[in-house]
Amino acid sequence: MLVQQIVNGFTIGSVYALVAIGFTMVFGVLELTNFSNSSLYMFGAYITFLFYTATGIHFFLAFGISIVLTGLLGYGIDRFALRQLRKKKAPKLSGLITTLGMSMVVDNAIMVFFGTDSKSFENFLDFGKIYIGSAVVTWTQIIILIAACILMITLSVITYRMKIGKAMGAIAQNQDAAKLMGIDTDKIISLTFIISGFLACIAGTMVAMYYRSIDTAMGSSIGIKIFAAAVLGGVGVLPGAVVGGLVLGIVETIVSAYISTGYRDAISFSILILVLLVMPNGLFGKKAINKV
Amino acid sequence: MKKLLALLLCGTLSLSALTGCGAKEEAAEMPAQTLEEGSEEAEGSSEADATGEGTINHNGKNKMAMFGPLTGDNLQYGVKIKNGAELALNQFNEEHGTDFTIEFMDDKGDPNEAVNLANKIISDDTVFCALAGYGSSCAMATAPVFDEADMLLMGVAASHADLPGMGDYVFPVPMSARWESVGFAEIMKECFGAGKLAILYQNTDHGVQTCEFIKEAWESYGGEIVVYESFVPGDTKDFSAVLSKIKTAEPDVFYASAAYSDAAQIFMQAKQLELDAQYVGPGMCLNEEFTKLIGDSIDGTYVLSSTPCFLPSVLEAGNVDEATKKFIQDYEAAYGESPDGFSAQGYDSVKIVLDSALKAGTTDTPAVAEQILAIRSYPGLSGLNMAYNENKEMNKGIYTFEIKDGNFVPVNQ
Repeated sequence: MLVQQIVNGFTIGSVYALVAIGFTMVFGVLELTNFSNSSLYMFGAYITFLFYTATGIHFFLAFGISIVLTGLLGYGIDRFALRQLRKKKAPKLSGLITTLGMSMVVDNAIMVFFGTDSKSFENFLDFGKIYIGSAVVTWTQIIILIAACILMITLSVITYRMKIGKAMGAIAQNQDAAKLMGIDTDKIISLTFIISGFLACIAGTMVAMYYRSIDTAMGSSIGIKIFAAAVLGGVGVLPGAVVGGLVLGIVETIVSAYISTGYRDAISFSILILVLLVMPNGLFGKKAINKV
Repeated sequence: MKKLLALLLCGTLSLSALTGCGAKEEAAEMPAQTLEEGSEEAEGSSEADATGEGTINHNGKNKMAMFGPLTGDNLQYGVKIKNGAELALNQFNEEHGTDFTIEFMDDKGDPNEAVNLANKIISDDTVFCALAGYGSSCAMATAPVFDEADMLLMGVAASHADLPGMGDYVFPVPMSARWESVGFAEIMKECFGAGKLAILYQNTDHGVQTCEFIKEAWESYGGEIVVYESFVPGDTKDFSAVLSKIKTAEPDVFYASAAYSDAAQIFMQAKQLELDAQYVGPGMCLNEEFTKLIGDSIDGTYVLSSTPCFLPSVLEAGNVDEATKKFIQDYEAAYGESPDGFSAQGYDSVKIVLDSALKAGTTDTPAVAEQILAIRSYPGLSGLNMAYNENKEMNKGIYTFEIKDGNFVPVNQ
């Protein structure tokens, strides 16, 4: 049973990791807690669903369109709300509240348009299952884990090795100075939001396939976990988000398997607090975080 | 310009105040927002009808008041119940030439709001019966208010086992959670033997209570409860951890008490983990969305319910009596959509009260309550052999369905 539980934990963990990467990336650049990330995640899944069921086009084409559209929505959130705040030199807290508001707008728009009942979603990654001892592992689970790792590596390369990543780092340190050095800060920030939209959509659609259903609460129920995973790994550190997600997933599973399902969240969050007491910057965090 | 606007506003205000008064005077004779359109009919008919063929002497107490969620998260249930109740009232009035009316109020599914409405209802002299539209929490919050006012309260969809004990004139219409659970346990025992049972329940009032009763009953049959776990609904989407735990306990029967979307996830994930047991789900699963979610992935699963299934696929398969057929036709004609279990409960609630009032010949609370309490085998639409026991608990037969090719198929016992 332990092997099975670890497999279960890895799957939940990789779901958290997938979404947490986008979240932590925006934080890394803007030091902004982006609450609308989990709404983008739901939005992505619903748009894939819409294009696939309404137009009957090939699933992966629908997936592609949805990725683009979710990226555009991410861009929209930055362009029409956050950029205005930056222009006016609003405090960071205003940005945080704005993302919360944006998240509500997106959530409710989806609810009005699609209704609040769960919808069934076809699994296109269903390639059967394999056995490790008596434990069952489905290919969907493996693909989700691999996808999380690939995305983490790609993004790490972009942010830590490429010029654009350097620009992101510069903006994170000091926006005004970055501007003086000739960095088009608005463009780079928009790009960050677009990428986080892409990631949210990929995560949302893959999770929808795994559970074979989508509902309007899928974003809000995962939102707090994403936050916890990112904080655990060290906010702003990409590999940290993945490791944080996996650790959270496994702890959660072990708690609900061996202690109690009802108290799962209470216990796993207590563990999170304990870890943060010992390592205030998270597992991979370096500098102290003094922003919102 | 501004002055003109102010003048205009003043004018409309005073006008509306005037008409407001007028309406109030009228309301003394005829309750506002009533169903019956004919306000002119109400003026003269109250005496005529009281002595007419209906032979219900209501002395002006001819109104029922229902509070339920007509907006908010549970609106779909509230509307179904409202329509069912409305239909029952119209049919009764037509048949017996009576002038009963019903007023609908919106409690948004919020117990606080429901208590406010309850206080409003008891201050209305024309109301003889209140109906708690949806959920045990609203019914139980308002029960003391109605108890103090000696007003009849019907819990249209309140199955909490403690509700009947909360007042002398409180009657639940759905099957009491206690007897429903005992019924479920009995059927599981009859169908699959009293072996090892695993229970996964949602951590809500309803989930905790029903599963406690099932556990008790199962143990009294000599069966063994191998896993007894709860989950937080809405917060949990991945059940693999607890399902793996259940798998290692090797149960014969696996019962999940959950709303349909959670139940679908639980059973599908259990199948994926190759949990080899007989799956059993509650009546909450009997809806179309559930069948859409599961596809044909969990064939063989049993669903137990104390209310009948109104899904077209089940109705087409037959086993529908004439009364139900007529109800469905009338409902569809009136509202352009098909009824469900909640509509039937709304219908039955109103019908039970009015039938009992007819028998009692009055709308006085004690007399009507006496007649309701005497109901032993009521031909209702929302259940088999509906009967109250001396504790005012509703008892019904249990419907058993098996999922075959993604559809619910009644199992004959």
